[in-house]
Amino acid sequence: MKKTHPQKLAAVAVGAFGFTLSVAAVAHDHADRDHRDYHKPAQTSQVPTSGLEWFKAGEAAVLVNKRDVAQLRKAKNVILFVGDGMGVSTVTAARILEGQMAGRDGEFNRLGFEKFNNLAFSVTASANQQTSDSAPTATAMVAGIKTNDGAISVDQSINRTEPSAEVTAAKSVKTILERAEERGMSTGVVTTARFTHATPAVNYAHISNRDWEADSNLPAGATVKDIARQLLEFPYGDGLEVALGGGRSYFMPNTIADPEYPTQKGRRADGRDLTLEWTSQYNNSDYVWNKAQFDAVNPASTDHLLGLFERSHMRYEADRAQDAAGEPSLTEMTEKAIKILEKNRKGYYLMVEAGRIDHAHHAGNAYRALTDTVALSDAVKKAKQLTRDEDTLILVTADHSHVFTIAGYPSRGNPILGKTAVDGIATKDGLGLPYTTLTYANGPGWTGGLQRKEFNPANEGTVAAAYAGSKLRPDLTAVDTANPNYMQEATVPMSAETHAGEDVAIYADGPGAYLVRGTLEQNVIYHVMADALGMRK
Amino acid sequence: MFNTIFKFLSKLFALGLLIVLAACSHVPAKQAANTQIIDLSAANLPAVAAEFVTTRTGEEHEHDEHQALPAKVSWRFWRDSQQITIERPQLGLGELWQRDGQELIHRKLYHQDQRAIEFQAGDLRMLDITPSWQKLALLLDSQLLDKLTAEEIEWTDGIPTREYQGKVADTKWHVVMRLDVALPALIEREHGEFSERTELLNAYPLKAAPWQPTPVNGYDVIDFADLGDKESDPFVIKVQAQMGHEHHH
Repeated sequence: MKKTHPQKLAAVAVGAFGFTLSVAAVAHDHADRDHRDYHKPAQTSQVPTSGLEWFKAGEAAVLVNKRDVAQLRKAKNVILFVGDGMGVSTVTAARILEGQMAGRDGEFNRLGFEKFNNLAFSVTASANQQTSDSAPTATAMVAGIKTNDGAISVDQSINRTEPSAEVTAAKSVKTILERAEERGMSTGVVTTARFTHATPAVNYAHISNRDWEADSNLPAGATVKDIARQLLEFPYGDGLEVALGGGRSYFMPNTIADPEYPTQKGRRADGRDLTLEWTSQYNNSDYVWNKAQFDAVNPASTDHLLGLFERSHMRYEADRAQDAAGEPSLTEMTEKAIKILEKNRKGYYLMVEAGRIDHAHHAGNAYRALTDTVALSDAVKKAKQLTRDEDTLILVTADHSHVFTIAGYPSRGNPILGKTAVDGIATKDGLGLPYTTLTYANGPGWTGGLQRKEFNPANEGTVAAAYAGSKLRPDLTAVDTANPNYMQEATVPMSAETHAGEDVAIYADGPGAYLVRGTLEQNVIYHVMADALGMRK
Repeated sequence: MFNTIFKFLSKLFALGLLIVLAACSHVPAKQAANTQIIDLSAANLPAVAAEFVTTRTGEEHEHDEHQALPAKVSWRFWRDSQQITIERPQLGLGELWQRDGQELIHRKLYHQDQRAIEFQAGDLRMLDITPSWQKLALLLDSQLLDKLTAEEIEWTDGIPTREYQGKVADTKWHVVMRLDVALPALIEREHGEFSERTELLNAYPLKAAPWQPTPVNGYDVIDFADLGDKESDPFVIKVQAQMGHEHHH
């Protein structure tokens, strides 16, 4: 699977001016960092225990912000982390869960990216939606425009099911990744979802319908290329250097057995094996599909890496250890990607997506949504370790939120996955029943009491269901709501929980991060990245 | 969201059905010299095709959750070492379970729409639906059989059967297992006013089955995890509206 080629000569000309600037920047950074550390109460793990300590901690946090002057220099690299569906309530609950799982004060804990110095709200409404799906929101972030539901880096004037390649090309909007490739930068995309899923796809594909991931998904007569094919026929620069995620079946023909699941075959009807084409068209390239192969990849000698670790989406972080073939974590993929991309002296653009936060929320399962959020935080921490604040802009945001709430008045330290309790005594609802702190406004966790309906397989419809007892909610007294498979209750009955329309947060650090403040339209994220990279015309 | 479906299936498998074997059975009427008694715990059970009918009376109440099932359902079953298929022809629906190494892959098949919804192992785990292959293959939990009183093997028209009876968790069970094909010939269960009876109508060696599963090679397969992001897909809207709801803990 590996194709080797003599290493290309790296650019070696580094001007004296650049060197001097670099040294100066490093020296300044070290001095500044020492000073900042002295005033970093927000990053200590020690919880204030008195009014005076809380006051000092708050005062010190303001001093830190006063000292952190804007980094006005251009960024060499940009990393955009996206937690798919990671609304503010998800961040808060994940912060508490991470802290509690580590035996710390959960409320005082902070995820890795919450320590970033710059913060803004992102307005996620798309061109035609109040509450959006991932296609237009991801397009906004990487192409700089708002567009319609389902659209992958095409503008809002296109029809949702436009089959024509010519029309699609005319409506296409160049992405930050494509512009980076044009400039000779390295580029990569890492995701735990299918690589052809909306958020990763917006970087390298242009298509009116996010569901057209393989050629077998295209309508008859369509001339537009499917999303997987567009990765291999990418026309800018020298193509993506890193492509890691799931969705192997969309790259394999329907005549070839999957390497991990031999009873299953690919989805492609055109007979093309795009995994083979990857290694044949790129020098120093490799294709891997399991953890052992991934671990064996040497970033120093690999210039184009394709990793597809599942037929469809990769595992939730909570289930990853149970994959027989093994999957790398989001952190491991991020590290490998950076080590491949950073070889390019012109810099790089990398998107890293925690794609399954969204899926767990849709299924009404808070545990997996939160543990995948913690996994994203870990990946951000790794990226911070591997990069330098003075030349790498790191953004962390979400494409949209979910109808996920943290409710009641639980005591500080109450288990976030547990039932709401004050000093260990369960709080009761109006029916006299205990309830969980985490719930959903809609979704499959609807309990419905006397109003419930059930599936009727006789006619594939629903019928009123009989209900034992008089309770309108289940009694959770004996239920282990911290069980990873527990489905939180929902208010409105829906088979899949939905996205939410409130703003999401943008966290930013590094050159250009000072531009992230206030309430921004989501497409501003692209312009922040472009400005930091000096792409603004 | 699909708990109801799964629960229905598990009830079909693990709980009720009844088999009337002999009369309609394809198996020889007299004991054949080469008839083998299958160990129900064997890793590989015989490849078979079978036809069942399930009838129910009353309403089932269990943990405040209820199934609204039709009074009578006919269904077909195909089993080999790696795959189990179930179809309800009159409804155009099917279920597929595939064993791939240590993983279990499940698809719900919508034949009229030529589409399928696939559940990955992680989805099944998250939904607390992790049936053992043995349970799927036997249509019954072998642990349940262990809790029932088992009679001696009887031979009827050359067919070995074993009868099981007993009460487990307020449910009264009567099961007859056909040991030549490792399938239930009859499953009866009762609790309260509810009763369910599933009976085997016909059983064939898989290669001799008079009917085959509906071909699904060209079906558009949707991931269960993607349903929430396909809010505008008419098929998904239809299926989700049909699913009903069931909270599980």
